[in-house]
Amino acid sequence: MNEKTEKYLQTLLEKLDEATIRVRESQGYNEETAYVHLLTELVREQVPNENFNSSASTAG
Amino acid sequence: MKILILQLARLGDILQTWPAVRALRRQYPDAEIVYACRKKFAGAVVGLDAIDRSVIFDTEEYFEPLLRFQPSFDESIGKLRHFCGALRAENFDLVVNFTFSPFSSYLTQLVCSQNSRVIGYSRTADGYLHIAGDTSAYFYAQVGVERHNRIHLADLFAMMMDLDIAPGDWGKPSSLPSTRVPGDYIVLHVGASDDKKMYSVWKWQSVVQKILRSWGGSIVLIGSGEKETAVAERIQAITDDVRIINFVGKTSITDSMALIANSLLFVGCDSGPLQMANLVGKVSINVSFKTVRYWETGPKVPGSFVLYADAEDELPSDRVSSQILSILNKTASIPEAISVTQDMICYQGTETEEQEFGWQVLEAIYLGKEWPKQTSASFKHAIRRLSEMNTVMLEQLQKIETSSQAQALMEILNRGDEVISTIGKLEPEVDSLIRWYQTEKSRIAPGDFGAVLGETVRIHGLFQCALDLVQGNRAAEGRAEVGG
Repeated sequence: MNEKTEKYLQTLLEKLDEATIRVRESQGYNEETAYVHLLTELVREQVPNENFNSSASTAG
Repeated sequence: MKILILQLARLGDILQTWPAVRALRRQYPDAEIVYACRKKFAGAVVGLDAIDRSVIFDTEEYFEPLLRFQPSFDESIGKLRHFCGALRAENFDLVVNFTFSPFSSYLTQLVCSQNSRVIGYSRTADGYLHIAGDTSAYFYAQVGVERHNRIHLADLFAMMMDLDIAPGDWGKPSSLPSTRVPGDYIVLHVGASDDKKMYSVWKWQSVVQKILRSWGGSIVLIGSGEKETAVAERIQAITDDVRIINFVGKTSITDSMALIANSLLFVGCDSGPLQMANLVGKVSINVSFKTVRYWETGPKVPGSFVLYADAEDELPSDRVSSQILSILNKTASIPEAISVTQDMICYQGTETEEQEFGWQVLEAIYLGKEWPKQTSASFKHAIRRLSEMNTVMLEQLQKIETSSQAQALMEILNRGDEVISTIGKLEPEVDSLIRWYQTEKSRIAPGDFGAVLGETVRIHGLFQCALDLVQGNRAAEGRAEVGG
């Protein structure tokens, strides 16, 4: 992954993290919130040093 | 019965589920088994005869709206909704998530219908991580680098479903091409699943030169991607010997598997091809460092070996070439080689006292075996502090009768958990026990006040039981109470 893409994904992830907090605060946890979390974690997997994508990675 | 398997990790992770999926097929011969994996690794389920069909998760499709000049979260979510909705509409009776990632936990929740039973990570109704099953909890708490698990991932995947792997569950794909090269040859995978797990190019060059000088067969290089192509070209460049055959980037997954199956030996670091060797029953030499836990992902074929060093620069190339030649020439192995047996705990080699103790603690917690003796003052001190802290927490919990009292005491309990966590960081030998405790607490399901309180008290009670056993303050018959 080149530096530009990495930086872009990092920025995207920050925006998604903010959106996740906003949706969670306004709606609680429901299907809509779960999809925002799903997308956030999908992006997080692509950002180096954020999440090691293998079977042995753990969730929180 | 309809069963959905989710493995959204990488090539090697998918291949390691094959024996468990075959065991699942033996258990449910008439079930419809669907396997979901990422598009990039879809080739890893080709030939897995235990499944009826595969479903492809195309990561790029969900990323495309995010990578536009004006990114659209809504469009990505719409596409994810379409994927999950289609799977949920299939009404799977059982959903097995082998992935162990946060992403997969949300995906599992979203593809389940109301009546689906879940194994592996999912989410609770209020969004917390839901760890379904004791083996999944063991995985969460004890699997990974710098931990003490000694059970191979292939076995753990089967254990998650309460199944045993039979010898026939390890096996080639249903149809394997006849891909091979003429004469005797070994297969060398020049890369690894991660840069930190790789052996350096100049060491592979040296290994290859020594093998070619002392043995008459060929060396077939396999791999994929730009990095591994460059490594293979540099290896090939050291000599004009035609016995180096470079197939990097030129073979499909099944071709690579066939090449390995028809070879004399597979050599490589932690990677998908090593798992191919396991499936086709090929003896292998696994070059492994501290960045990977060979106990979990190493060779499974008896007669194979692990060559381990804490760091790459501590494993000289002559050690690797000597071990390769010892197998090819059927002579004695080098003393440092860790041999592979047929047992569940399949590696026999030298482990430090600390590593041995770490595994014995896991056996005590999860299998009800005797607690290992530990004489170090720091360990005893840590256990005493944990016991004092847990006693205080238990006393406070037992005083609670109403939810308002629980709120008032929450700060003390949270502080107690922080202290327990800090003790684990200061004394790593008690860390496995603390991770067990933390995992069990995180598994308390949402429910009414009384049920949550009761479950919390039960876990603190079990923790105390374990601490008493370690300190010798409880009779031996209490052992099995702690294990999950």
